[in-house]
Amino acid sequence: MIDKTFQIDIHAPIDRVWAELFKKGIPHHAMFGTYLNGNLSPGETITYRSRSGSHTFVLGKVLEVEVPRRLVHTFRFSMQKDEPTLVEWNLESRGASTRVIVNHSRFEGQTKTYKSVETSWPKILGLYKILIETSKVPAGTKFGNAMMMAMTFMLPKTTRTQNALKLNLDAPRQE
Amino acid sequence: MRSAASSSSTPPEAADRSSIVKNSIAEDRVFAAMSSRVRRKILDFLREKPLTTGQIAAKFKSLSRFAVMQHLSVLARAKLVVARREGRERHNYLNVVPLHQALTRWVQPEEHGWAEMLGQAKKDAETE
Repeated sequence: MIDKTFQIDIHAPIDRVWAELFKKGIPHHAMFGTYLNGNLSPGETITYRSRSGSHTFVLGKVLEVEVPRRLVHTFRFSMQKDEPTLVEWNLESRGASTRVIVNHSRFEGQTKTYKSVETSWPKILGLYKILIETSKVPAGTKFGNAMMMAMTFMLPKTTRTQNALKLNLDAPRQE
Repeated sequence: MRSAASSSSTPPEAADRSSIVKNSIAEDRVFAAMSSRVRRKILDFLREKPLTTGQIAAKFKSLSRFAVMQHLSVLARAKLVVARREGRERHNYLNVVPLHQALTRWVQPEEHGWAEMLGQAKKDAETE
């Protein structure tokens, strides 16, 4: 199994970084303008959905939570057939800054999910850094996200929330 | 959205400047780290899979383990390599985020291109 690590330092206190990463009811511009839904409690399902809730793009099951330092959840794209993987968020306070470490593991080879997240995590973390440090959403990001949401009608049926919630969310065990 | 700076006692403008300086220093470290052929090769190896320092050193016949460790420390300072302890071993992982941060304004200008294009179209329409 393959695993990847992504790390970034954000110049803001840990509580503020946690609040931004896992906020609800406000679009996550860094996560393609989706809305985080679900309780951050072990056993609960979390989803990144469209504003209306009709489509779910990413979902997983919460395994561990330690506010504001650690969140572990399984992860799968609703539009991919790949088995769920594992995402571990670790936040470390470093003076006035916060180190955010994302370990994404349990890929069964170079799957579509692997190829997608390998390039998207750097972009996502980079955007969270900009959003938190400057409080500004890059115009291109806002526009790109709006375009993506406008195209949801083209997405496969598996992305419809009622279908996505039926998907298996248990990540394979580590070898 | 509240400014990151406003939650501390530091004036917002000073905190913004401090972030810019810190980000520039981080960028300098990335480019300095990438200026060495050996260090780029190490990143190539780590892109395939995480390796221990010993495993990396074994791939360089003409370099001492100490030299490899020095190269690794430059990469670690630039945050391009992240070490994770797994049992008794310490594995080095490639972290592409700083590289993405440093290069994105040149290699992905299309991210901001849409807005600029629309802005220009609006400007053109208004000045016609």
